[in-house]
Amino acid sequence: MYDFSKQISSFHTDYVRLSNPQRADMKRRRDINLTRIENGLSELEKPAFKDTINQGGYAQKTMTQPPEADEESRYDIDLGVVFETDDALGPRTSRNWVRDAIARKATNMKNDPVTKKKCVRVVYSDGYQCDFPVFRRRWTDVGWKYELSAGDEWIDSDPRAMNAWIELQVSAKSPEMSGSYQLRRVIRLGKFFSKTHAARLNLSFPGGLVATALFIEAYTSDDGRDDRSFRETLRSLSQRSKYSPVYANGFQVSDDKDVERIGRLIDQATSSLEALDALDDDASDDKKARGAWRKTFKHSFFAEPVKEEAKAAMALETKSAVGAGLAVPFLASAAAAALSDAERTERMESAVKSRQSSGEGGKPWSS
Amino acid sequence: MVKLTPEPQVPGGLFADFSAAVAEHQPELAVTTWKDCVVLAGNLVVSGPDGPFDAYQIQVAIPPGFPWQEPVVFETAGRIPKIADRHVFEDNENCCLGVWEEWLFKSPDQSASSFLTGPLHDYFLSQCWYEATSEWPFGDRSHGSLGVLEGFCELLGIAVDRQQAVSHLKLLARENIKGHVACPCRSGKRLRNCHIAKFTELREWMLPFMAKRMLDRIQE
Repeated sequence: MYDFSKQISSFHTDYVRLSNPQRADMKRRRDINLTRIENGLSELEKPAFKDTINQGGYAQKTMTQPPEADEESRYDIDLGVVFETDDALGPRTSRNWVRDAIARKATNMKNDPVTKKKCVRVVYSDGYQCDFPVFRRRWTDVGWKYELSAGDEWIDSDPRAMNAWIELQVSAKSPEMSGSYQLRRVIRLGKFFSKTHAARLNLSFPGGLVATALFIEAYTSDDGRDDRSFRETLRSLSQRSKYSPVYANGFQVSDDKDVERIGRLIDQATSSLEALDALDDDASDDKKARGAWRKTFKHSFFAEPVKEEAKAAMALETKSAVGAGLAVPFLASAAAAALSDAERTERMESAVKSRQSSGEGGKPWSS
Repeated sequence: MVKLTPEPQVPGGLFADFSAAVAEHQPELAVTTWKDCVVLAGNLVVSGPDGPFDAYQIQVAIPPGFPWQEPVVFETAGRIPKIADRHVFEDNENCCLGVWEEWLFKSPDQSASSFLTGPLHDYFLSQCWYEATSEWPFGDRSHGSLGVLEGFCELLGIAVDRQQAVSHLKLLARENIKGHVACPCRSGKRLRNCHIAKFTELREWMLPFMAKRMLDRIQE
């Protein structure tokens, strides 16, 4: 196969993986939400939560940037909120506490927070979606035991075990490489691939844990060649049945609604493989490789170099314009996003004080 | 207060002026043109004496009549709810930085730099603060025409009273202020025997063209 590993690696770094400022932004949002829940519960005179558990792509470090054609789409945050068993009431009531606490404190939500079967969901006006699963915990001889509020039941759950299982898969299955693990990169490329085609076709594809588990299942390692590893992972995927349930850490994580979604991902993998397999031809060159990978990821990163240069020049004008600004080497906005909450608050307070003392701070108005 | 004269304040050209100001104060904004307007788009970095701490994605259209014409500002990432309580016009979803004439009079100059570091930055600094505290750090104006009236009355140094503001501005809109007219304070005295000193001082910086403009605005 024509070696395009360097380009795939750059693509992963610049357009697929979340940058540190983006991760910092996620952390900031997560913390804001936590404070909202904490204050809201207190104002509602409900019991305080005792612990939180990071879940999902953020915890598993498999979050990806939005696909090129769907830059408005943002990332989801999953954060488990844990009450003591003695404090929690019924599963539905406990979820409603969290919903009411958020509704009380948040101002920029697109819709009111909703109690879903297994979480409280908040969609913010800027596209972020936060899911808050609600747990209760009690201390047992073997440590904390967690139960998830699901519908009208409390069901046994070990939220941290899934993160640990994924971490173990990533470290055990990836070839020895310094830096990062290949499986994690392949999961990210896979999730990006799934999101890209979902946006292109305006259809649902597997996401979240189902996508992660599918790419773990199909992963084929290839030391030093992420391009070949990803192609062979797509091949394994294309050979599975959409009806086979997807498992993670011994639990089935897919359900009936995922069958068609998995089917679409399999079809897309098959179609991309046709293009990528052509790169086995000895006559392959950079141009053909770009074409095949562009077909796979539908991204202008793989456009012809001339166009890319022109784009880069244009991007320089519009990069900050669209506010992407996230892959740029150093930007004040990126530095700001990477601040801790305490640093941010300190700087904000000094900015406000400085304007207040100058007596020049403008008073906003509206019609 | 600053004495404003009707001549354009940016004779060197808006594009050059904003390009230089952006490079100095907000380098993450791109400066382009669209029709007659200069357009700024990108990240507006919010900062203070200790450095940057936040950023908003914005687009600003600077009309050719700047500074007399007010720029139109949009927050484009949807972070600020598009509601009046967050000082966003609900019709077009553009940000309302403040009562424009207040800035015109209070700013030491009406340059692109002063706009970027003054009302534009203050608005997003206020939004950051509001997100954290639900309070406006520098206060805010009432919604609608009352907010404009509040701003004008503050400039005129009177209590918020539409009739008083109108009579003050009508007098200030005249080319010559004569002492025999009735004082706008409604004391029943002639101006020369009442608030002449105040109007002499107001006339120092509020020329008739601005008073007319403000009068038109509150009589709309």
